[in-house]
Amino acid sequence: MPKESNHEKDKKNSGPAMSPDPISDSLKRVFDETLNEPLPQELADLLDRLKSGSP
Amino acid sequence: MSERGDRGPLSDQLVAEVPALRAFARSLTMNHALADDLVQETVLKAWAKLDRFEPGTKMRAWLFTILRNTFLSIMRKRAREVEDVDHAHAARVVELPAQSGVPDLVDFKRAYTQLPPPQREALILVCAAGFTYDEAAEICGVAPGTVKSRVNRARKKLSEMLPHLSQDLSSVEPVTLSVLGTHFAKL
Repeated sequence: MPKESNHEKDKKNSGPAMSPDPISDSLKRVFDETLNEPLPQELADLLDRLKSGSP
Repeated sequence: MSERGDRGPLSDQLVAEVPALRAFARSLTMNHALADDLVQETVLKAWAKLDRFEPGTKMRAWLFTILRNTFLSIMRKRAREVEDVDHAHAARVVELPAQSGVPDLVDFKRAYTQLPPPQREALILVCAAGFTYDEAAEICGVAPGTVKSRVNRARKKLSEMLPHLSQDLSSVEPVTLSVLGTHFAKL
């Protein structure tokens, strides 16, 4: 059985509303929201050029 | 040598960090368009000095440092142009979070936007971007104790603004008295 992290144990014991660190959880959500967004075209084009060696 | 030369693996790492760079840039500028311009400039700078990157060190920390320094020099330049000071110009172009979205997260973003920029930055680096206090301190050019102090003060402010989040904040570390005097260390 996979080992459970302390964070997961805490969540299971207290439920999401009683997360041990709701501020960190919210910050992670704000941060991850950007991570999951598609890149704007200009930036995506730059990265394509960079991948081919000439930005 | 191939067109990508020896930079291949490093440029792949650089590209992989771009989404995290955007998230950090947004936390600094609080403006999507400015953040994307900042990321673009950071990527070009990093690419130009990729041969100076030390293998074995954290690419994300290196890139975040370049982005932060670029942000500060843009702000200083604008400050001279508009007789402004660090971060103050950025504060005026802050985009408030849209009303749509998860209600709790919208409230959180509004509160987070009101934090002083150095505190916001410390929070994002330590609590979201996965840096240790020491790494965050190196990125910000301050002592680790200053980062801890900023994180603690930011948490305290957020818990005051969002009382429903404060019930579990007993784990907040006590603020180090020796760094209280450095409310805003020189950037």
